[in-house]
Amino acid sequence: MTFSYQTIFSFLVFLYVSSAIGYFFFFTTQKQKFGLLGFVLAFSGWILHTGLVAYRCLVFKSFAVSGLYESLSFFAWVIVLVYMISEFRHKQHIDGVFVLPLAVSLVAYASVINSDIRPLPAVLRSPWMAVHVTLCFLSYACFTLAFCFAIMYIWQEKELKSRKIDVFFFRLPALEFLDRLGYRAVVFGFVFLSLGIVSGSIWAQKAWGTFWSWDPKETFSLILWFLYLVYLHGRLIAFWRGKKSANLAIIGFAVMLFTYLGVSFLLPGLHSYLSK
Amino acid sequence: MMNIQLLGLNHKSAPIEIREKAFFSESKLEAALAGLKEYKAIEECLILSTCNRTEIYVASFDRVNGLGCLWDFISRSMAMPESQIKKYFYILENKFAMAHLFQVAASLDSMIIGETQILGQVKDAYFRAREKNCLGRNLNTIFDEAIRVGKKVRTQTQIGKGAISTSTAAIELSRKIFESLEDKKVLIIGAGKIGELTVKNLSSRGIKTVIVANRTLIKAQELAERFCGEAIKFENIFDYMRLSDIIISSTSAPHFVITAADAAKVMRARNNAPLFLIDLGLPRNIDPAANAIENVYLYNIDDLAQVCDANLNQRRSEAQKAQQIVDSCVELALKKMNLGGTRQEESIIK
Repeated sequence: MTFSYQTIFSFLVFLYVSSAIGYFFFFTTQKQKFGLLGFVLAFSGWILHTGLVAYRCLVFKSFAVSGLYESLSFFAWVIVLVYMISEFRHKQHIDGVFVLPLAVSLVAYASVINSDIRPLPAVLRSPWMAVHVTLCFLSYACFTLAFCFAIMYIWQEKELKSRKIDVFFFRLPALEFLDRLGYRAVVFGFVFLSLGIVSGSIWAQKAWGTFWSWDPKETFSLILWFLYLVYLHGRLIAFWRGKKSANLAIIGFAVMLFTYLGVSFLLPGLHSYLSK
Repeated sequence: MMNIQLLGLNHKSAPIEIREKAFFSESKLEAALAGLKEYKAIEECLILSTCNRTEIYVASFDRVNGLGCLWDFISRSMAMPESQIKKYFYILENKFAMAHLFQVAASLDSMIIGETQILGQVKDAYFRAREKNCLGRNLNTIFDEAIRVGKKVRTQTQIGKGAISTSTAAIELSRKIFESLEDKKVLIIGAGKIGELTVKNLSSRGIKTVIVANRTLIKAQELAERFCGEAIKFENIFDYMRLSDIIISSTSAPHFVITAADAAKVMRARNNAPLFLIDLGLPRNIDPAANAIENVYLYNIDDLAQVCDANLNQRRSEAQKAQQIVDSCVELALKKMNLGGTRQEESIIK
C-alpha cells in the first residue's frame, strides 16, 4: 500500500493540530499530562516532518527550500525543533501553547498551496544553500519563540500592574522566567542571524560576484539585525528588561515576518524565490 | 432499618460563645465518645469537632430514641438545658446527613470555601472513632466515601486554588513576578503583625534573606532573630532597598515612607531588576505613583484584598462544580447502603 505525499503531509498537519489541542488542554486545566501529550505528539509530528523534508530533498537531489511551499514547511519544521529544545531545557510545557498554533498555521497554509515539484534554479544548487537557509530559519524560529515569551510577558505584566487577576494569571509563568527565556531566545536568534547574513554574503560573492547588493531581503535582514542589536545593547548597557525588551521583541517579530514574507512578495529582488 | 443521624452546629448556625461550649478538645474527645457509646439506642458514633463546627454522627435503629440520646448527650456536655441550645443546632438524617457530611469534607460548608484543613479534620475524627471501636458498617461506609469525595473535589476542581488571605495573596503575587524565591531578599519595614505573617510565609516558601528595619532597633532585632535575618537601623533603609527584591512596609508613619522618587532611584541602582512593594501600612506607607515605574509592582492592603476577592469569586464558581460531584456521589453511595427512610420535615437546616 502506498500513500501519496499529500496524504502523509495531511497526517502531519493532523499530528500538529492534535498537539496544539493537547497544549490547549494543558493551558486550561494546568494538568502536566496534557502538556506531555502535546509534546509527544509534536515530537512524533516532527519526526514525520523530518522524513518529508528529506524526501523532498531527495527528489530535488539537493537541499530544497525554494518556493513558498517548501519554505513554509521548512520554517514550521525549524520552529518545532527550536521550541522542543527550549521546552526540553526548561522543563515547562508553556512554549508549545503558543508555538504549536503558529506551526499549525504554517503547515496548514502550505498544505493548501501548490506543492508541485518544480525545477530548482541552478544558482540554488549549492552547499551554501543548506547553510545559509538553515541559519536564517533558525534565527527566525528563535525570534518567533522570543515573540511568544514577549506576548506572555506583556499579558502577565498588565495583570500584575493593573491588579486585575483573571484566568490567565494562574496559567502563565513568572515574569522573571518569561523575561529570561525571551532574552535567551533573542541571543540565539541574533547569533544565527549574524551567521546567516555572513554565510549569505560569502555565497553571494561566489554566485553573484559581490558580497552585498542591497537587495530588499538583504536590506531588511540588516534592519532586523540592527533591531535586535538595539535589543541586546539596551539590555546589556541600559539594563532594559521586562516590558521594554518584550515590546522590542514584538516589533522584531513583525519586521522578521516582513523580511520573510513581505519582502518576497512586495519587493522583488534577487531573493524572490518564494514568489516564483 | 438503620438510621444515620446528625446533630451539629457550625459557624453559620451558632455564635462563637456557643461553638466554644460545644467544642470537644482532643483530650475531651475520648471520654465523649465513650459516653456516647453508653447510650443503648446508639449503635455507632463519631464526633467531628473543629473551631467552626461540632457535629455528632450516630447510627441507630430507633430514630426517636437516638435523637433523644443526642440531645441528652449534648446538653450534658455543654452543661446547658436543651431548650436553650436547641436553636443553634441542626438535625439531619440519613441521606441528608450523608449529603451534609460530603459537603463538609469537600469544604463546601467551610467558612472559607475550599480551605484544606477540613478534610484532614474529617479524617482525624474518623480514625479517632475507629480506634475507640465506635464505628460499624454504616458510619464506616459514609466516612470512607466522604473522604473520597473530599479528595475528588480537590483534584477535579480548582476549589482550593488562589490565595484568599492578605499574606498568601502576597506570596502568590511574588511567585508570579519572581521565578524562584530562594535567591531573593526581603526587607520588612516596621514590625506589624501581617507583615510578620507575610515574611513567615515567604520564608517557608524558600526566601533565605530577611532584613528587618524598625524605628526601635530592639523590636527589629527580635523579629530578625525569628527568621535568622538581619536587623538594620531605620535610617539605613534606602541602602538596603537597593538589595531587596521584596519590600514589605507596615509602619504607622503619617506620611509616605517610600516616595515614587525614592522608588525610581532604587530601580536605577538595582539595574531595573523587578521590585515587589507590599504596602500594609495605614495610612499608606508607599506613594501609589510608584506602581507606574517600570518593573515595580506595588500592592497595598486594598489591592491584596481585591486579589483575594477575585480568587474567592473563582472559588465560588468552582464550588458549583464541586456541588455536582457531591450530589452524584450521594446518589451512588445511597445505592450501596440500606438506610432508613428520609423524612424531609425532620431535616432542619438553618
